[in-house]
Amino acid sequence: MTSLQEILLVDSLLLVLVTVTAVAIIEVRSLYAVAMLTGVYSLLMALVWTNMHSMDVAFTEAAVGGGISTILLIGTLVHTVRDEKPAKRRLHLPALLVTVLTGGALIYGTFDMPDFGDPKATIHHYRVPEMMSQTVAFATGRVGKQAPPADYQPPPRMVPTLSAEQLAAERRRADERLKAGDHGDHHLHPADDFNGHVPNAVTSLLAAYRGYDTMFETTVIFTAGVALLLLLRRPRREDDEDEPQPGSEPLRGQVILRVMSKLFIPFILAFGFYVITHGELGPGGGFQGGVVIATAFILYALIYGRPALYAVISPGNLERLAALGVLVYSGVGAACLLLGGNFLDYAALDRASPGDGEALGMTLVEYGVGITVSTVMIIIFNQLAEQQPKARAS
Amino acid sequence: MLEIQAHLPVLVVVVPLIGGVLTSLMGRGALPWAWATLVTGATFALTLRLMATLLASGAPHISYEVGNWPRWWGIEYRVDLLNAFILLVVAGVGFITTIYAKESVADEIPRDRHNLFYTVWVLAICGLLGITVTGDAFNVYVLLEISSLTVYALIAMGKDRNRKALTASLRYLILGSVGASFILLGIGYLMMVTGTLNMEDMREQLLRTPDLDHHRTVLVAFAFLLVGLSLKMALYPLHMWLPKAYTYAPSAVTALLAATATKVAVYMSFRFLFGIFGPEFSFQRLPSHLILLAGACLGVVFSSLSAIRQQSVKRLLAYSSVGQIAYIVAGFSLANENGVAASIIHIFNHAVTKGGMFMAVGAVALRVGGTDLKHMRGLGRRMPLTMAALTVGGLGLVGFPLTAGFISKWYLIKGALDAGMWGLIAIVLLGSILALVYVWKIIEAVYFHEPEDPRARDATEAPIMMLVPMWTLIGLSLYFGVDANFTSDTALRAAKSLLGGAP
Amino acid sequence: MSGYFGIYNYWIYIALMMIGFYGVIAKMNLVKQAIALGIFQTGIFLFYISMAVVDGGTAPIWTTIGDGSLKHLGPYDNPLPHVLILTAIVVSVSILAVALALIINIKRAYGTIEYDEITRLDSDEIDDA
Repeated sequence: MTSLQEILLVDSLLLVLVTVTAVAIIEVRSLYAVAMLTGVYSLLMALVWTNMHSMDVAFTEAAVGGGISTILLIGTLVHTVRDEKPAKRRLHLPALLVTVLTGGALIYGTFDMPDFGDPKATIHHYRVPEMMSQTVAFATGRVGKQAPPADYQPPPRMVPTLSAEQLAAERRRADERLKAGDHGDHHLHPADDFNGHVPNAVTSLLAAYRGYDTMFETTVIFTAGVALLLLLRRPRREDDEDEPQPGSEPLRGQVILRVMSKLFIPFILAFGFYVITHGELGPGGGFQGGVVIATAFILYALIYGRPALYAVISPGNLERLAALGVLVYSGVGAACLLLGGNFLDYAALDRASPGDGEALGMTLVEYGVGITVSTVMIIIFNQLAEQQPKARAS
Repeated sequence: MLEIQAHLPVLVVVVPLIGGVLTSLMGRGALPWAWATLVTGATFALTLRLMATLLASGAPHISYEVGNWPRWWGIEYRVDLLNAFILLVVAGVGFITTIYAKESVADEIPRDRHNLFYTVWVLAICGLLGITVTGDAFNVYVLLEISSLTVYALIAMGKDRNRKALTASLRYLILGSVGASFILLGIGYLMMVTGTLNMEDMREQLLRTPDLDHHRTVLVAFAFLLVGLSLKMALYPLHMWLPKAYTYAPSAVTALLAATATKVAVYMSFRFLFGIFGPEFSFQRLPSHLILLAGACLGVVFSSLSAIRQQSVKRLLAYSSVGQIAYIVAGFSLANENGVAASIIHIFNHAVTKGGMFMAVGAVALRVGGTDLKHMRGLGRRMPLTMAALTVGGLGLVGFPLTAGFISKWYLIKGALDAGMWGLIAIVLLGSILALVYVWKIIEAVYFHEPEDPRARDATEAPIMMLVPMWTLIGLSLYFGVDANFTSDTALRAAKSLLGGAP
Repeated sequence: MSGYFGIYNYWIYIALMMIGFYGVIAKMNLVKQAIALGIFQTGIFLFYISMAVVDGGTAPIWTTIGDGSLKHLGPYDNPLPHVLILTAIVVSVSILAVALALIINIKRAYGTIEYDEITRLDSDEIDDA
């Protein structure tokens, strides 16, 4: 019980801060200040996620919201405006009305929700515990999947339509177990260790059970990169190569920055690769690691200029790598098909030991995600930082 | 060896995905287009085979478990008659529009980014197919965002002709994201109540939930899904993004969008309203059919009135699309067999009719450089085949006998009679008269005026690569206006299974 | 833990969502609209993650215990919503990037990124119904 109260205590403090920041973001007129506040907002949200034990989401929020989004916003503001025009009215009444009505409807919907943190909530009992109590492979006993061990017992499934008395009884039983020092499982687990390879349940869900969603998540990122190139890439002409671009000239005078960044970049890269590889063991994975790797390149471009970055990796190669990541992911899926499994049935990769096959498949797709995410983030940064031709009358 | 047959449901999405990503590596010239045509063609062939397999198996549906995870835990692809039909329409029209796109895109999009354009193009089709084939509620959201993101980018590519394409795209981005977020929220509420993401599983859980009608979380989930879906379908009065988006997008993109994007949103509504909540909950215990009907009736009347006032033919047809979507919504909100069948038939009929018409307008954009009525004047003699396609399509919008539009309206009126809704019949007739007025505006400009625009005076017939796809779609709309057995049989059977509450 | 206290946490997510929603509708500046859209979406993420919390639970990550096997000691939070939100965060940053690209293009074409001014510049067309 105490832990939930702690969550709620920290939670309420954090959420007050988050809400205040959100209001400030909407109301402050200096857009640079807004960009910084957005970063603050994301970091606060990362704390909220951590407080709710969602480490992977916290990591992603910090890397994406606190890092990339802020850079993108500032990159955009350089090319647009610094300040929002003052509004005619302080308060937009129709908007307020719509907002209050929508919010009211949403609050109405919460009245039949299970309590916050209620271990009896349907979602903790219906399908997820079954997922968590699998060893990888004995899902169906079909080709490539193992048969269940002899002593396997199906997890207790609470019917979601428990009566009030039944719920109370369940609750009492759980409390007694806790009092007796038995950290009794609301979820029956674990065994979801993919034969000892994947202790992080979020990763196993992400890359295996819902690996198909994750493939499209990678595709979404790829699409965003392609869309930015489509919209922003300068027409390739020879005559404008010489003109200097703002933001592309290196920061020559800044010795400390130059030296420190050179020192840091290898560590950032190493950390990025660690996060990708480590995703199965702890928080992290292809997406978070990819963003970390991208920041190393972006830092390099910021301090040594984009031409220096292009000397390391050309724009054309960035585009090719972005496609490669998605192709690695979908290619693993297709390989499973060719080896006789269903699409993305990693177990087909290693018939002798399906668990190892699963682990291999998950590692490969994490690298696929990492490649696409890091290259697309660099592409997006490059495109937003690119100098735009003067406004043209139309 | 790979048995294609067994993996058809997933291949329908994976082939355009891998093909689309590969398009970005194709360099310049005609290669990206040729590759995109190949990929969409292969996809179309797969959907044909999927339909044949389904019909031959005699089973109510084919299920495919991605990653071999049992469907309760992983993601299930589930193909029944309804979505096999929609897949066929989306992939077929996608393929035909890709062929058409060659000339139009070469004219309207800078040459150095054709490979990127076709990448996004194929991924858009991939996203739409993915929404249609999946049986998993969250997978719907992910694929919905893929198709939306690609469509925003495609619309914005009209920017070199008219800067309004940019604002149209951003407007759609904001509204579309709000709509998609509402859908995400609705799915979250449903997941909280049911503990699962599989649509069929959700349905069973909801049936088991006591006192469902007064379960406030479920009611709010329903409301938010309804609003989100209406935004995506462009149901009046949530259609504000559509006219601008269709008007300023590149011609080929407009043809693709008009024929597929809103149709897939309608299909999503089928899945959520009939598949998950079930027809009784959605249409009998809640007054949602009245809300939908009201939106539909207002949509038919007001969008047609707006269409009449337009000077730009593209915009006129865009408003007409809002009206046609309204017919589709009116059909399924009747929640009887003929009404739902009318919706399904009209999804196909309107896709081929409007797709063909926007192709004709795109041909005018290529030859004359504009798509206003003043550009169209006198083109009847200069571009006879293109203008004939436009005219035949227009008659289809009105619902003349022997066009596909007539069949849809026939079933819609039958459905309204079954439900005893005489008012709806009056609206349908009024809509047809209004449609006649705006179609006549086009016909008058085309055939009864002398060319005004200097480029119109020496315009020549559209290139063959445009005429063939255009007339394929218009020809289909004529064929299925005369022999509607396939469409109406499929639609009636699909309607029956939807009303039986099959997910 | 019952009554309104049990569900108040959900209300905070609604508050966040509505702050964002208000921004999307009320603000004329396009950059502001895009950021507000992001806040709106984080509200929904907060709802999903709140749904995952289990009383007394910890992060859903297993640890190696004495005999080398993997265990999770005690109850843990539901990992499924975490997975979904990871995907949704990625989607939202992609949307933000595309929105910003459009905004840069708009600034180039119109010279402003205030929606009301753009509407005025575009007002030569019939925009009704």
